[in-house]
Amino acid sequence: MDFSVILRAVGSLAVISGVLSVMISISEKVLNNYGICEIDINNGARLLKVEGGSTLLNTLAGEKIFIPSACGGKATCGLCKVKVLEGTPSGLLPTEEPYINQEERKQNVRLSCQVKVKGNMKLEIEEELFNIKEFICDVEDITDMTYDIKRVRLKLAPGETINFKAGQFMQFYSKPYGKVKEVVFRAYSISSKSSEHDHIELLFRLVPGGICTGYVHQALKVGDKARMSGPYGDFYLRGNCEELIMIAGGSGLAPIRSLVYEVIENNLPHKMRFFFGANTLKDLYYMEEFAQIQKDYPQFTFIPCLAFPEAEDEWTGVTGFVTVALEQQIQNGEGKEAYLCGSPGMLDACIKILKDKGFTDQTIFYDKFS
Amino acid sequence: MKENPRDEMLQRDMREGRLSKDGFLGDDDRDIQEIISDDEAVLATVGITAAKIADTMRALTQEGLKGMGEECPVGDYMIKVEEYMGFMGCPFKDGFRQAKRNTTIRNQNGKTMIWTDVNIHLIGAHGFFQGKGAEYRLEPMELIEFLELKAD
Repeated sequence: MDFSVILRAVGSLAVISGVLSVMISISEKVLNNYGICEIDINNGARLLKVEGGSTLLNTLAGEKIFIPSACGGKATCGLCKVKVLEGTPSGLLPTEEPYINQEERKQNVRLSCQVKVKGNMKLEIEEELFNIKEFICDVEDITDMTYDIKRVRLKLAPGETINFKAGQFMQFYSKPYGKVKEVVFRAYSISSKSSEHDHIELLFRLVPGGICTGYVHQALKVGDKARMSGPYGDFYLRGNCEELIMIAGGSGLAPIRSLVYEVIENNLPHKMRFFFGANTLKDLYYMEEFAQIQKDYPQFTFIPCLAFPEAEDEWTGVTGFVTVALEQQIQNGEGKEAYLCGSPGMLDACIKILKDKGFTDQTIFYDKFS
Repeated sequence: MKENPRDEMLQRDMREGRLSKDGFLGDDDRDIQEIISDDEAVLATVGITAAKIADTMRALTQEGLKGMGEECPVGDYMIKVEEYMGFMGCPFKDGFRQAKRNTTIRNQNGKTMIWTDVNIHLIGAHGFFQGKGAEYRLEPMELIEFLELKAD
């Protein structure tokens, strides 16, 4: 075949592709131009005027209404549910179906990360979500608590304050770094005192392959700006009891530390026993601080448990899984509430023991990592 | 060729830095369906299903959980299961959501394999062993040999 013919064919194809790309680009702009849309939330409680075309999750975030989400809008967590009463075609998208049960379908519950704003809408969301704020903070300090846990202390912008209940969590946003080209956010329990309104402390245990913890461990530096939203969650102190049994493992210590300080600083009468489970001595942290609290406040007892102490650890405390200590030291659930935070495996084992001892679903509160 | 926007979204979400730092595709240029088909063909040669492999992996992880984060003996293996904060959803968006959990398993010859709960789900529910070069890619034949699986 003549070489010039081939060249002409390739050239023609390139021109056609270019024209098609321009046409697609123009048509996208025309077809996806939904103009200004009105969003009515909770029957007039909030009225928004927004540019259409984006997902409901992002649109609401742009208006400082933060719907909890753990996957950043990729339809893999199923948490960002809202009731869409009007304004979107009925019928779920295939990406929503696994997360919405029959009852929720009847109530028009949708995943806000999948629904696009294409016209006026009426929504129903939990009132308390209006209290969630976004914060741009200064990274004031990063401390290695163990070989794989970092504590990050964040200072809020001047004049800004946060009110949270001890036990609640924040969503922390990472920035692009290395191979990660986009912002992602994940949930982290607050470890600082709820009386501290201008700072937040979070604990980050490095997750293999984790985007957000990888960012904190590898890229975040003192002096950087960090973005968060919150506070979220219903893991907080009820206190309808005489004694609080607190149980944590790993970075699950974070909300428990905050709870302990809430009791102490508010002069609450509760006794507290804190069982902190770890494998070896190098996994324990905040040891001196909790030992000092125990010394200063007789109502507080700290019980670190090492499952596999090494000879050089010269460990004299409780040896064995935290479950063994619970079996031995908790007689019954009378007058007690239990607060747990840790890995699902540890929590499941502890909850089983607590229930065997008379604790109930009404007296056990937990923040399972999952 | 990708079939529809959902497939395109899937291919995109599987790349590094989307759902996990290193992604599910590694440096594999093949389409996800192609990766699945190629691995399926490998399994067909030995008459073992992806579901059977996943069931075996799941059972071993469940037994390993008894070690509560430390290595413990399970049959001929030593298994360590570590759990991390948060959870991981299935990139196929099928509603699967599981704690971030890594299983490190060592056989008597000293060979070690590592898998996550998402690995197990991807293999069992989607026949997806991940792309070549992906951090958690598990070679089907290597797994079969390691788990000492035989055709029914």
